[in-house]
Amino acid sequence: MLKTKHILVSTALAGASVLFASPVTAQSTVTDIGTIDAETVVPGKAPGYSPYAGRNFPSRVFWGDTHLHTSASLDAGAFGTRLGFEDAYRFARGEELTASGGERVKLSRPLDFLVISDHSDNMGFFPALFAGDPKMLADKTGRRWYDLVQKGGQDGVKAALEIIDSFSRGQFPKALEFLPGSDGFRSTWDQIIAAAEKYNEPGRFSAFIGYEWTSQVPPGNNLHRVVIYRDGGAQAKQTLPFTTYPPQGSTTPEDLWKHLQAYEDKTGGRVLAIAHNGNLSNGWMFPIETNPSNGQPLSAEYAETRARWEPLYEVTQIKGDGEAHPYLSPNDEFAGYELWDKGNLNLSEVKKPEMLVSEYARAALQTGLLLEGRLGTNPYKFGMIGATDSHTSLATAEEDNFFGKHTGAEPKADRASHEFMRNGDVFLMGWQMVSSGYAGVWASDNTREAIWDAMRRKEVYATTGPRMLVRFFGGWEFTDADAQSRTPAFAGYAKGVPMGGDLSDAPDGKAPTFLLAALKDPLGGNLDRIQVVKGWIDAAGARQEKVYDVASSDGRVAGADGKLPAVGNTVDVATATWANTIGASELVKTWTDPDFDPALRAFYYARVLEIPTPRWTAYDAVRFSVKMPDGVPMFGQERAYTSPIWYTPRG
Amino acid sequence: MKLLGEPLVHFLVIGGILFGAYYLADAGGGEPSGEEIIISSGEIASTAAIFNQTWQRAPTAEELDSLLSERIRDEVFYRQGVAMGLDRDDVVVRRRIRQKMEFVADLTADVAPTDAELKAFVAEHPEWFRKEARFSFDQVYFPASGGAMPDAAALAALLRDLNSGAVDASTAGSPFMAGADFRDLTKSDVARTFGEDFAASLGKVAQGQWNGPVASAYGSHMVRLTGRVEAREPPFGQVRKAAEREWLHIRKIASNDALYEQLRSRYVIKVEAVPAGIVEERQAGVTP
Repeated sequence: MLKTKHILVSTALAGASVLFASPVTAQSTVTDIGTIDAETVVPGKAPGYSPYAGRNFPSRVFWGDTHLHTSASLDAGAFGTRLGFEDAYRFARGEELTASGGERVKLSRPLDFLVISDHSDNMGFFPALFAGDPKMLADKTGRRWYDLVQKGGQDGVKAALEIIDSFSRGQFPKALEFLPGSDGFRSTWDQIIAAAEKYNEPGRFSAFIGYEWTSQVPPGNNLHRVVIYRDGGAQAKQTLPFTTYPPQGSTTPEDLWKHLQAYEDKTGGRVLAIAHNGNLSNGWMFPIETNPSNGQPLSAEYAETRARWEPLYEVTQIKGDGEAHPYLSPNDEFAGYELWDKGNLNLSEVKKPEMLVSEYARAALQTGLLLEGRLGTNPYKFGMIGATDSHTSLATAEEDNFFGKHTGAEPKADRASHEFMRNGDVFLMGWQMVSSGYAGVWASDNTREAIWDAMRRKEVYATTGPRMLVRFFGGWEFTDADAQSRTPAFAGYAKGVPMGGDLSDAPDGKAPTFLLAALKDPLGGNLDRIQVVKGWIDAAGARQEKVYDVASSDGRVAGADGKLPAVGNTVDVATATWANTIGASELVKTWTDPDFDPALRAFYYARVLEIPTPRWTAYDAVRFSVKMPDGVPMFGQERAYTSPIWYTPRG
Repeated sequence: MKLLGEPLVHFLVIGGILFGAYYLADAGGGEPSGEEIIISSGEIASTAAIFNQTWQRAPTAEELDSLLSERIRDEVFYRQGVAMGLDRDDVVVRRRIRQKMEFVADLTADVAPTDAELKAFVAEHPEWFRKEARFSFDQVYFPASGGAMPDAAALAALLRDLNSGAVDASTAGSPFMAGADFRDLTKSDVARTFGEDFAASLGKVAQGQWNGPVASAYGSHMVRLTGRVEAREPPFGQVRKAAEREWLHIRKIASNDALYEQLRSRYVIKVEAVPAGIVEERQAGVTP
């Protein structure tokens, strides 16, 4: 069944959100953070005959991008992005449109949610001429323009021209003049909110209000955060987004957190922040000893505040994958995936190996365990999601449909072979752009509230683009029978905690057990294996990690060296095709930690690998008939990273 | 604005103006140009209001000082830069200004349509607002790989036994992570779960009995359709919001284009000949 992914896309417009254990009907939009009650999910304990009645666990994955820029971001606009908020939502909802570069473009299947996260700096202010407010209508000229606009068509254009002319002659009616901050004014933020309200459709598509706080500490150390609101416009518009230019804004994360607190205090709303690209922070993203913003030792308050506002980390995106680095994880043969490790964000300072431990997610999760011992709170207790960080208004993460970092990198023959950026001797090539990633969210319903709550309780996972279905539960009593069950999620929730959860109070003599399941993306490559990544701090205070191959395809067993043989490779680079003749469509397994020490803090997360499939560079080479420069990777093993489950010793 | 009534604000506003005047008087060792930079009290108030909207508190005197001195610094450099023509060939400045112009055009499209207009619009585009068909069904799964796929004779026998009740569907075939029974899924949700071909097949099978095998992205399935709601055109009230969104979208694009054409017609545009040798020659055999 050799098929190109391209053909599959056109013949099988298929599958984002797959259902887990069966029926999905309209469910309550009310969810409660982190309080899934095991009693109510056990089959037979439900009040009536139906095992599904009264069930309150999430049965469905919703797919989305939490990090997308539109023309409202100055850097995107400068690169030529003309598509705005509405285009971004329409594209995410599955509509075909014309990219800024002129190509027609459509997603293989719609997304379920989107966060437009334009840079908060440089959000402009605009006059609100036609809100239809009484002050404007009381003015004769205003009334006339209003009426013309209402008529539409050429009359609307006439009004616009008159407005433009009166501006340019300095004859704009006094009554219609405006000032920033006064009620006659609208900011870009108001436009962002209005677009989100327009495209948010509970049950079908969630349009989140959000922005990116683009903190870049000189010379160019990336501390960016995306801020996501649970709330609608009525609350979100009561405050303006936080910026980075003092005295209005600041590049220090603590000031962002203060701002978020002020928002919640004032409005009763809820917000969270997601950091990204620690790989471009040159050691600033996950500090270990000293807080880089004030030179003081990290404090208990820092740890508590960060944990409160930053439950997730964006681990994979266009500017590099940040799960693990080979320098830190020399025994992990899959640790070198799509790295950007030359320097900081603007390449003004080159990378030194000692920076890496404060940049990559796996090391940060270890640091979190260390700091929890020292400060009482784990500041880096984050779940993991992927996002695009595209600056094109197009949330593309699939290899065969990759529209690049910005409009200048939209599909064309030489985008891979051109330099992407350079600073002195340090440079990145176009082919190094990563076609990644998306967030999978286990939620009870497609609403802002349900999806945000799932993010807050970390029941989410990252993928590098494919939409594979991944379940990950931890507990003390999982058995092989649970993995063979027709409805493993019932056992998962009844006997354990899902991804993002906590284990403690190890029963005497027991090691934690995990229930893992993965189903391939219906349009994607088969699955190679499911791994569990365990990290801990040993009794001597040293970082430890181990990657276990838990389930694999094609009946493979580990060799004498303890390594599972590679799954193989069916990619034909010349045609950018592959075959699902190797790998498995589904992998399910129960696993027990063989090296458990109940006295030591630890985390566990699942990594799911696909079989090798063509990289976007291979599709470019075929579609543009170009030869890629030597050394350009043409295939890769796409993957998912779940949020961890943490084990904390009692006391 | 309530803020303007606060004595502290009055104080700050006056302080800010004095500061501004002082700054200007003291600025520049050269000849004063005589040109005024006026930071109006309204602007000071709005600067404070923006701070307040960001931080949920009024700025301190130092903070307001700092904001205003930044504002003045901006203005001085901005005026001088514009006088020197530095804005002319700056792609960021141009793009930003174009965006603001397009925003003016958007504003002229941002009106409230009547129900009659929207009803006519829905009637023109019924397919945009049609409710999809919905399906309820049970399935028995046979993975494509792993050797669990029975041969044709065994499948035929299983189909017969499922329909006669001799075999219980909940024990037949292999477990499937996405589930065994599905209720009230839209056709596109079925396609997202199983693939487009499966969804198309489901639309054709008879209700109430087991059918199959039906191919999906994962393997083969026996399916029993237990319920079907045909695609339909919903009442106007249910599509009003979506119709308004689409109606405004179309209007916005049209008004943007129309404004551009009107403005463009005010200019005589001359494009000189393309100099020789500056366009990349496409190589033969390159397919777009």
